[in-house]
Amino acid sequence: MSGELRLRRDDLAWRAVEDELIAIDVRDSSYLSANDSGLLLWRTLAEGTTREGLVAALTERFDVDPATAGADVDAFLADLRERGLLDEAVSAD
Amino acid sequence: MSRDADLWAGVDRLVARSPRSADLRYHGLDSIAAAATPRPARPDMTTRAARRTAAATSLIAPLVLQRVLAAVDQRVLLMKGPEVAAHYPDPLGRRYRDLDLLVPDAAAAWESLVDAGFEPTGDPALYVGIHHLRPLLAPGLPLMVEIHHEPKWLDGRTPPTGELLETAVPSATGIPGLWTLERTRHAVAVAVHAWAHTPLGHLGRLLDVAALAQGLERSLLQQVARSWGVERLWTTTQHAIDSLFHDARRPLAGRVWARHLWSARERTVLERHLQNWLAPFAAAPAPDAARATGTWLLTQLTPAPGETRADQLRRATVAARDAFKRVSEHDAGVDRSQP
Repeated sequence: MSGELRLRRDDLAWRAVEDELIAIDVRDSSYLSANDSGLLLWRTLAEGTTREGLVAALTERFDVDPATAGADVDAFLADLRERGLLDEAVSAD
Repeated sequence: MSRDADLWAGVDRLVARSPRSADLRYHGLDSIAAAATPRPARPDMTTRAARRTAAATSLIAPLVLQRVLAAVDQRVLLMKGPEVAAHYPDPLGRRYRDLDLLVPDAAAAWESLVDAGFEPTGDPALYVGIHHLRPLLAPGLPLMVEIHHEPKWLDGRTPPTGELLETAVPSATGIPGLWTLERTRHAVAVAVHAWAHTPLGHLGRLLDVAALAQGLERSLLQQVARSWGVERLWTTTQHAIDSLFHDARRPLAGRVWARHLWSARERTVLERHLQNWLAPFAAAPAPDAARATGTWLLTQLTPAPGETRADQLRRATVAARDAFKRVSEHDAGVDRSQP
């Protein structure tokens, strides 16, 4: 089973400022920011991806091993889930 | 949208000349400084913070404007702020703290917004009899809305509000249903607005005029200014812009009472006094200017309401002592000395 992950499309406004993310969740007027690696993951999620795709994006862009990248991705996704910012679809391979 | 590359190269040179982040903030250039080329080498948090703030504001503004358009059943014209930012090469270089909206019936629009959940903010007494009503805030979106019944204008003069409303064009922000001032008129109106606040006071305001005027025929700008009775003010503003951003010869104002602009620093106490004396002559015919200067001089030579002659002399002595200090340093010193 693979799951496609995507940022929630409604009520979420964001932009990149150089290498940082600035975002607003309009539903509760909360403000979010992230550093350059967070911005990379965010942008990848905006287009739709998988967990594996996110790990690959990090390892290709930054000097980090897959295990560390995997842990970072899982933590990032957990944060987004808690904030209700992810749309997740599970499909059979 | 045509962009004047020379203008923005001139801005970068001016930003690089400023030694203090506080001066850049004073001139409203802190956000643009973060992206200037060459980038200022000094380490500081100010310009990055300004840029982040500008980014957050740029996200909030469309949300607020959409709520305004949903609530107000009139033509809504956006002035300054994000409308000017749309003419910058990078809109985040132009920070703003509120949305200035011109409408045909300001009182009705204000009531509609309150009915829609916008909350009034600020001391009501400050907004009696001025060009806009008490500011409003949409819940959860920290960006004030100021509903204008007219643009800020010169004291004793009538702004061309009807003409501005009649000649409105779609906003450059791309927000559906939002209007703005026709660009030639917007450029001149921003110049008048800036002068009404402080004649040749801040680089950021002059840059706004220059950004709006990019690619426009100078003769048309002059024609609008003439029709509004502000041609002299416009010419002074245009000469300052040409010198500051295009390395043209420095005008007389820039050699006497507006020197701070060319150094990209805050004005001194002496320069503020010289501005009060001489700026009217750069904006109006000599008899009108002499009258304005005479009125100001009278306020300086007589005690203010509630002030004794001794207090007035003390005030004048402190100002003379602080002649070459930045105004903010002088004012802070005055505040500290108050009982």
